[in-house]
Amino acid sequence: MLSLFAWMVPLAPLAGCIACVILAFRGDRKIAHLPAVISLLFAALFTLCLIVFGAQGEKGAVFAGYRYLNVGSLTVDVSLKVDTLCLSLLSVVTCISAMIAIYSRDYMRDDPGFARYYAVFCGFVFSMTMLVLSNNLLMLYAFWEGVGTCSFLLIGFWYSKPSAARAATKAFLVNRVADCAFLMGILLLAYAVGHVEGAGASFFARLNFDSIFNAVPHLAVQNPELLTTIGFLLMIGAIGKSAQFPFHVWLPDAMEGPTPVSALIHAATMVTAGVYLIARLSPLLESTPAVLSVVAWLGGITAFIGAWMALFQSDLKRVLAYSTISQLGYLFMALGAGAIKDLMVVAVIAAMFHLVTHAFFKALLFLAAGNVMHAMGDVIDMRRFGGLHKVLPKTNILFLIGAAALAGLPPLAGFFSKDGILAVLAQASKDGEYGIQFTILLFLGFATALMTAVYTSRAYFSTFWGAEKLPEEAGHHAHEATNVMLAPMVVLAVGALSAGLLLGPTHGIANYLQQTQELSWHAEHTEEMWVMVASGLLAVVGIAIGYALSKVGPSTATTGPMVAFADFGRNRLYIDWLYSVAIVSPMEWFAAILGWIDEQIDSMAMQIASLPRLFGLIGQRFQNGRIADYTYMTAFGIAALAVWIATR
Amino acid sequence: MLMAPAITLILGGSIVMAASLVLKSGTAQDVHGQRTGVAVVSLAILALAAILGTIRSVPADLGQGLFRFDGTALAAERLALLGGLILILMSWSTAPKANLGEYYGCLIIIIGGIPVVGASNDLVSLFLGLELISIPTYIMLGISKGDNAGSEATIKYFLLSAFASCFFLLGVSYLYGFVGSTNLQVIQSGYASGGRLVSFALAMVMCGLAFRITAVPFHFYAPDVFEGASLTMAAVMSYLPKVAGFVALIRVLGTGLGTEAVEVVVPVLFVCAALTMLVGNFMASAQSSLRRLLAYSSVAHTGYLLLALTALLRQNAEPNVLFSYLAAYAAMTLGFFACLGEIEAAGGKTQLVGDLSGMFYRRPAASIGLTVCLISLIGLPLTAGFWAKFLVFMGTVAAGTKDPWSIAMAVLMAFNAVIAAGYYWRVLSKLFERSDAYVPLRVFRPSLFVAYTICVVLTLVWFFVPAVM
Repeated sequence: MLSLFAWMVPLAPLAGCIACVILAFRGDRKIAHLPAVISLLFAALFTLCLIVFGAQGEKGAVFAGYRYLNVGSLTVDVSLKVDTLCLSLLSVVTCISAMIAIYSRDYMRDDPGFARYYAVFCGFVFSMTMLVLSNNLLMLYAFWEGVGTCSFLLIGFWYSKPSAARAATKAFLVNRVADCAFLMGILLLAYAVGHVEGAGASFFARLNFDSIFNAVPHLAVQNPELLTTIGFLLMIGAIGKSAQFPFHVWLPDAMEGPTPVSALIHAATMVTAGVYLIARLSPLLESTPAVLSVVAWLGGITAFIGAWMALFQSDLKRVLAYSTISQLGYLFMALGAGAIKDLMVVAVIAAMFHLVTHAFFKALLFLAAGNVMHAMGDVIDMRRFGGLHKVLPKTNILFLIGAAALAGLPPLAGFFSKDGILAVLAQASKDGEYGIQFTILLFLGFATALMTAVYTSRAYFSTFWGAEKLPEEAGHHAHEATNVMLAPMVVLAVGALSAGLLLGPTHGIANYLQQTQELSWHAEHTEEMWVMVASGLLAVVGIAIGYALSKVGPSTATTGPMVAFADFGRNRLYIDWLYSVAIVSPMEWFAAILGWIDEQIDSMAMQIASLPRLFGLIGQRFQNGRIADYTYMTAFGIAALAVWIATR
Repeated sequence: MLMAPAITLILGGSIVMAASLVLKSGTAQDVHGQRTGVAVVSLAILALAAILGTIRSVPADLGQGLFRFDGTALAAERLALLGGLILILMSWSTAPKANLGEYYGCLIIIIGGIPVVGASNDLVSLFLGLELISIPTYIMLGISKGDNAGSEATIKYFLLSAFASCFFLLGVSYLYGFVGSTNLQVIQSGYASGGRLVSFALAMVMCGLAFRITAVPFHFYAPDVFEGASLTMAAVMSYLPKVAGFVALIRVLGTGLGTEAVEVVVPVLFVCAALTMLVGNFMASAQSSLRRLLAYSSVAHTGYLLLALTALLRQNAEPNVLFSYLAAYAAMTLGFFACLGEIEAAGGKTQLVGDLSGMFYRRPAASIGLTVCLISLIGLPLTAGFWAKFLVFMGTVAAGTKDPWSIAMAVLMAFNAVIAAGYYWRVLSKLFERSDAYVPLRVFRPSLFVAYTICVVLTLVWFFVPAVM
């Protein structure tokens, strides 16, 4: 029964995807939301069934699917692994995707690509659920690329817009670099596991999570350097998908896609795949503290610079995009704390907790931004509108809930989960070896928390309060979103309000996650009261500053350190510029040279390619339609064969 | 009772043929009703055969008699039923109005002949099965299209087929003379002590069967027949005789050949396969006629299938390597013909490659079907054709440790697959060619649509679940 449920979770969106593809070809675009929404609701329902019925069973279970391949020594069994770690992410993915699918019905209503949108949407959910449920690292990689492809298709959804096409390509290429390292890591891991006694002969079976985890203790003794290399390569894959420094550049541009997509893929689900990967592989990475300490540093840097850049954006969606980068940085910072002995489980729990709450409030914020954009005639520049609380009263409240949760105002979701991460960092800073590092990171975390509150409240107040100001594009019909759009947002808002209180102080999520086999040993978690108080205070202070900033408007000063700070933030710290000068331009030169060589080879290949046709034309002389000739030629062939055989 | 499906098919075919006595003449309206009626009856016969096939239980002791019901027989029967289903669906709207009874009767008998060949354990029953396939084929070719080209195709096929049957019988007579029995198991046990005489006899038998599978140099009839015959008939010709020929080859050669016999047979098959692949692909790339292109493509696929046969004989691959290729081939080729059939039924032309220009904008569903089938024919992933080629390739390479020639054959096969991709791609690009003056084709034929939908779905599904193939 459970096996059926587990398989239905990915298969329902797949069925929805196929139905939408057929609708897309038939052009009946007005009903494509039906199969999509229904299938996604089913997926959510089956996930719920898994959670409810699976609660009685102990540990995780592996559900065999079917044997895909059996060629030589290569045997590929498709199977799913279900445990509480994957269920916690799975429930987020299916719930939020179902909500956003409902929301999209009205948001995408007038788009000619309505059916195409839902087809890719369902395809994404299928890939994402399979990614989460994979029992095998190579299979996970396949669906990792699957979500990447869907993300590419959705960022470039309005492909006739040059900026969207460019953004899609950028996201794809940046991810490609990271995925390349990821794949190398997987192959190297398969090689390494193969050298451990007792590993199976099949290349594919070696990459099952269980066999990886069985091999890790041996590898850690035999060849720690190799394990560290593998860990680094896998980490690069994770930080690429999760848009961490230095791969973060693709995510802000990804906002060119439809807003619900930004909410689903580029805030709530796909970008957390990297976090999930590290959490899933925590038994492996635990034995490579060097990798985790790098993860922590990258996470800290990303959290800080993400918040910094978010402070100085005027585009509402971009503020949220940078905020996503920054929050993901938090997750990685938390995971990095696993570098310290015995802290891995606490770190994973803290990261997963923030992942879940962040998914809710960030999706909510994006959808609210979508409402604003819808009402303002696709204008999203905060300088061009303001005081919308009368025009969009309901959106105002929903945005407020999301923003307060993001800013970390107690007792909303973001407060508890962020506090959990800071507490883990505080705990880590007491360690002897890595203590100083984590003290700095803890400081970065607090600074980021302050900046988060500042940019969130600035965005909120300058959008919804102050003098009412509408852009011309909005026309006279600036209106509140429809109920179909608001209803799923209310669900998300309830999540953002209550998830933290329900899961955090009660240790609900901690106890739940510890049912996962790899996270089962007892975790020593100490409450740090002062962290909680400090982060709460910082949130309040930050909101006050943000409110003040939204009143003041852009500063008029031209010199001084604050201006340089702002200038850097506005220009994305010049990282994009640096990449284009240092990496893209030399690559283009190189590509031009290769292109010239390719042309030469191509013309040569064309010459060769015309040969078969030439031979064929010669052969046609023998195919002259005369039956007597055919008979002679056949007889000649047989005679030649007979002579050959007889004389051997 | 083991042969119940074959008997059902042959009896049913005979009844349908006898029914033609009462079906003749009538107004156009009546013919329409008859058309549906005969097709439904044919499908019912097929379904009955399939049901009888599933409820039968195969005994452990297979015996030594005229028929022997082992895995090969089962596979042949399934392939025949699969092909039969699609071909009858295709015939539904394309069968000649004047000779409905004869047409369907012959078709069902051909389908019934394949299980007979597949289960034969004796030269006599084998030859009987083969003739059960070839004689109705002559009739069908003759009646399916009444024009000069059709008659020419029929005569050509008839004469060359008779010519090839001679060689088959010549080889068979040598085998009988040498061993003194017509039982295939007895004959196979005599291969080891045979020497040149048996090698010669085997070569003759293979030549005779090479005609059925359109191997070079017995392929000459294929392009002329494909071009002259009706589209459905071309589909029949590209699939059913090929299945029969390969099954017969397996039957005669046996899967348990000794090393000496393998050393005789495999080089012959290699030479044959190499020539077949090269001639098929070279000639196909020079064609502008779509029908002739398909004929040569069918020749080229015979080359790959011959390689599969060598892998099977040397027991280097899964025992189903040949049958899974045939199944994939059935799905992609019959699917291709069914799509063309729908385009033709809707009023489009399909004689030349250029006729398909811009077909995607005129007939999207059929064009998507064509695209999937072409991708499968090329052998790209996401389709059954990929696994089919891949398994053959792996089977051929696996023999390479002992025999360097087989590596060479594998390389040649890869090389040929590239050439083939060239001309399939030409067809594919024609489908999506843009122009402004396109008339959409709107006539809808449910039977053809169902036929190619089955093929396309199978082609795609088999990629994900290759074990079912």
